Amino acid sequence: MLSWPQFAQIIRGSVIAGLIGIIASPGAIAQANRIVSLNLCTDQLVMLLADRANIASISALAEDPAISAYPEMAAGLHLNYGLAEEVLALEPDIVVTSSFGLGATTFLLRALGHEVIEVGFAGSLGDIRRNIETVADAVGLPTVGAMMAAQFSRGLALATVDAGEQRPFAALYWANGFTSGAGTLPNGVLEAAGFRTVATELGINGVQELPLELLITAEPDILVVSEIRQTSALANEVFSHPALERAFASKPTAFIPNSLWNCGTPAVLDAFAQLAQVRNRWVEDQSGVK
Amino acid sequence: MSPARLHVFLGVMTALAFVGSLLIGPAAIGLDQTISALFGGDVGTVALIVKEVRLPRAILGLTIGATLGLSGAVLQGFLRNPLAEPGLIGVSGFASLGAVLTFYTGVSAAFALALPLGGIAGALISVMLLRGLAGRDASPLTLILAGVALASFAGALTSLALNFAPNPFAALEIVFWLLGSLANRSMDHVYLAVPFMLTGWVMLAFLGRSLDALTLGEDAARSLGYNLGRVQTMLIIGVSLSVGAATAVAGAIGFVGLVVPHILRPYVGHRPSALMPASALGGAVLLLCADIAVRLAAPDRELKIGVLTALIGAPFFFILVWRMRKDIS
Amino acid sequence: MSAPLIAVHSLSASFGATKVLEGINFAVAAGELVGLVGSNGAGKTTLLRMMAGLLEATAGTITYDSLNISAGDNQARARAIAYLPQAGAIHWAVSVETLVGMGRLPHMGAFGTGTERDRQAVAAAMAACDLGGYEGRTVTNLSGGEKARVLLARALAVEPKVLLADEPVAGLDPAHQLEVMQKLRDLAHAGAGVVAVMHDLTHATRYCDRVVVLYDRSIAAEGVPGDILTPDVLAKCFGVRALYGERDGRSFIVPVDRAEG
Repeated sequence: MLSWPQFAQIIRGSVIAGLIGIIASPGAIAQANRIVSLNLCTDQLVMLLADRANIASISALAEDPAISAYPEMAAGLHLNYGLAEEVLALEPDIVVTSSFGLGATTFLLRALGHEVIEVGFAGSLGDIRRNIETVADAVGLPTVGAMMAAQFSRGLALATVDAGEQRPFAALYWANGFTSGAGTLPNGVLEAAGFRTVATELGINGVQELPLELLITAEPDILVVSEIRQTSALANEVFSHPALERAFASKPTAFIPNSLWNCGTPAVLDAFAQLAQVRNRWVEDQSGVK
Repeated sequence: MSPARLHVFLGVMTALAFVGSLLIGPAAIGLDQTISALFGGDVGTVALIVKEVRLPRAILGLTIGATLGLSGAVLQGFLRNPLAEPGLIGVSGFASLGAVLTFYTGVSAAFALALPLGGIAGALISVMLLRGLAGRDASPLTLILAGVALASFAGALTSLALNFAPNPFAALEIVFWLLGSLANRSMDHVYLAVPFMLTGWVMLAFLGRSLDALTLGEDAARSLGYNLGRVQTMLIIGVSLSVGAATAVAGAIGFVGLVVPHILRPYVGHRPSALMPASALGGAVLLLCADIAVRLAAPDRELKIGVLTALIGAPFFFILVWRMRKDIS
Repeated sequence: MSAPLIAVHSLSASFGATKVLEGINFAVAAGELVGLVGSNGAGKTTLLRMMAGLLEATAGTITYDSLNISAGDNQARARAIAYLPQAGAIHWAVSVETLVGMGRLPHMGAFGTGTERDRQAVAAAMAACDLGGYEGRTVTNLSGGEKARVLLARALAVEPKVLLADEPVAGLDPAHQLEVMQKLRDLAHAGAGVVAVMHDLTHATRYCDRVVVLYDRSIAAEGVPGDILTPDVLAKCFGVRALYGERDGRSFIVPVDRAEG
């Protein structure tokens, strides 16, 4: 199977060779030559969609394997820290960033006459397709974007588990004892991948603290953990709390790398693949018990 | 109310607040379930929550509250200054810094006792610095200024250390170390901190009579047979052990040591030795109740207990400063 | 005279490079009230604090032969010698009874609550200072004169063999000055040794059995007040001339001019 970076390279190559470009929209929009991305999520889409040669800079976070799905693609690219003066020095054609987080930089760049495209936060699986297309349009590669979005939708349709299937009860637990509920991508991924979630059951919206005792009382079948770093952090202490360890001593714990679903990128499909394995094992165990 | 009846009253309140801390939480668990979870051989979900989530939190609320109340009473008695308090004079801040340094460098991961020891070392250093900065016979104003300077410095160093910590949550965790919290503390933290706190209490308990004598000033106290050098050493070690260990597991919780002695002093006839047990119990009640309040008020928000104690404590600080204005000027 | 309770031998003291006392020989015996006089900075308070064990001597020794205090036994010293500081501070708003009771601390352990014997001593000390009915009063609300009596009662509650009082009548109105001086005299004549720093020469000559005049770091004169407080001594040690008088068998000394030269 092709990885997404490989797939992206192939479709981009086809477009440039004119195989698809002529049929689609002949030269309507020129590809931007100097693209600057200021946000981890737009970084990843820019790297998938645009030619490396046309990427003037991406954010430094894109290099961090703990939060970026494509750190190897970031190697060698110019990295920025989201500061307006860094961007100005790069003389970009187009700046893409998230619609939250860098408001002051966005405001300043626009005031100085730069075009800044803000891409919304991906709170659902549907948002991923929209974000691919938005970034692709911004960098002048709508055709590549349309193909990637279509490919992603096909993958998503294959990975989605039907509502009628057995649905294990999963608790997603982040560092600091937070969970992701309605309106968040990880919760949407878990539900589409065939799980019921504690967050939905408890009516949690967005990212909220889930008190340890509520997590334990809910008695989920599976604990899904997504972020453990090997550094000392109070945030991680909750994972080694004796109550949590004992509550899940005889239950499966799945680790889904945060980088797969903290941004709306095609990497979400890799999270689906890993969750499918977790779910299949659980279903097998259940039938074994019965 | 006589001091004896006050102590009984505070003892009962402490017991009630401790039970309340075991009973109140986001998960609905009844009194009978709690009792059988604590004393029966249950191993189910309820037992797990009661024994491993609520019990450590209640024990730490009680012991840390008592530590802060007692330390406040002892520091105020020794310095003869009603504004002296572990938080305001920088002891808690440096204890936090010490704990942060052992925690984020990974030392405490390799050697668990390093965490409380780091807190205790930080507390010791702060007291040394405070003495160096304010001098031996510091006026209340000088002492508080020196303490505030130390507390700010410790806060800045803690933030700096966390900014350099290889940890994406560092910014959030600054809040924990500067304001304190009992959320998600476990029995591991109880085992790490409580022995040091108890040792500190025992050392401080011996100081009651000398603090009474200090009501008459240093010369009179010494003429009454007290070796103030030794009293000071015992006090520094006792406060550092208890506040250092408390802060190492719960962050720098402020104002408890200011508010509690202030409220209780009239009820014990202003006598420093009688204020010590009363403040220890009062501190336990206040912190247990504050911890219950943060759970009830905003269970889904990470409301830090130190926010609540500061909201209660800061107005008291204003009142005290207001009253002291004439003495200082 | 009986054996001295406290004896000072060739005592010298200095703060840094500044010499404060030099070659002091002095003793206080049971049953006498000794007045320690001298101009400001003559070293009176320093001498008193050294006798109380609050300051180390630079040279010389202090012996407590008939007090049976072994070296370093702070508590035994505290039971035998009471020290009443100058303008004694009271830092907390405790009751009069609590404050006077602090005089019993040397007789208790770290957690002692006091015995019947302690309560009797406190009651007696309060009665001696006319503090009947003051038990529950808050010390910080008292007048200056009342506070001074409470602090004296605190020192008396120790039931000391020696009382060292630093300016016990400073800040008191004339009536209370006389009252406190009489108390000190009563205490001495009841068998204790009392040393009081004072400035009022009439008090010294009226109440003291003996007067010690400190001048220029050493003892300039010592003896019965009438023999010692001569015009020459006053001119040399205080720089004043005084009126001397006697009425109904009571003598007085009133400084009136600065001495010339």
